[in-house]
Amino acid sequence: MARVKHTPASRKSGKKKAPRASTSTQPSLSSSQSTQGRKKMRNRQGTVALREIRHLQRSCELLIPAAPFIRCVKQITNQFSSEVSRWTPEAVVALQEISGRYSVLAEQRGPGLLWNSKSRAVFNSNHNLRLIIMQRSCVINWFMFFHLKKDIELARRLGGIGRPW
Amino acid sequence: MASRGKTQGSGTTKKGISRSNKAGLQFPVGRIARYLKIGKYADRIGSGAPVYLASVLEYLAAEVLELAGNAAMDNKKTRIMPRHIQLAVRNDEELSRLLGDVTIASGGVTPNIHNMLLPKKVGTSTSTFMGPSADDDDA
Repeated sequence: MARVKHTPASRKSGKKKAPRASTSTQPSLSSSQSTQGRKKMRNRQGTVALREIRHLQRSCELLIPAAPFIRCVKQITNQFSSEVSRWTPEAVVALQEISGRYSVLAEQRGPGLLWNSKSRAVFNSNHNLRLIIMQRSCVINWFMFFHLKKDIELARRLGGIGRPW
Repeated sequence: MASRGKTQGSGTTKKGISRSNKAGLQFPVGRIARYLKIGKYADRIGSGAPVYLASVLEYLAAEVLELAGNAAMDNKKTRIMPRHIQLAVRNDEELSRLLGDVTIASGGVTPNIHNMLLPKKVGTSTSTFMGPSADDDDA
């Protein structure tokens, strides 16, 4: 015999509660009036970058997005062999860890070599925290907001990874 | 036929004491001895070699676990995670040299921001920092 769901009698009644009337008599301020009085808060140059640096150095999650990385791995696998086309999830996660670690080390190792040897640090004219290290026509911008191909190649050249160039 | 070892007639059979208990270790001496024999590292293995190796491994494990436990306590956690092991290893000079080329999965990095990247104090008026000139010779 099938089970019957027992509900209380109050639930069975077809009465529905009337929607509660809003008792707030205070008129809501329009968006133009609220933002007109005070100025929008803005941070100085470099403050948000330092905040992001602290946040990313505290966290330990994977920084490479998973789906594009899996597509890239499948594409490279397909180039080398058409027979092998399956990856276990653990292997993909391990490869993702190693790739992220390699890119972080490549970024860290380049400026480290410059700091140990003779270097010159110059701030921009408007005193923002964009540190530029110049040594023998090698320039590294420490606050790179996006990595171009030439940035990665420069970091690998300075770090001595992936020779010959 | 005379049997060597324990007497068959006596009812009290002596229970064996493991070599880890004899040496006062937590790591298994017998298992390490078996691995040394199976691995064919040499034709013969001395009796003291597995005890020595077990004690060395136990010391290293205790060192890492103590530092990782302290790192977990600093973060107000009672469970050691890979992040705590990473912080413990990288903050110790000798362990960092030992595990220099080792990647700890989901370990992150040690928090470090170069002093040049930090904002200047309000009182200082110098806007540029000129390090050692690139024109100077290495000598």
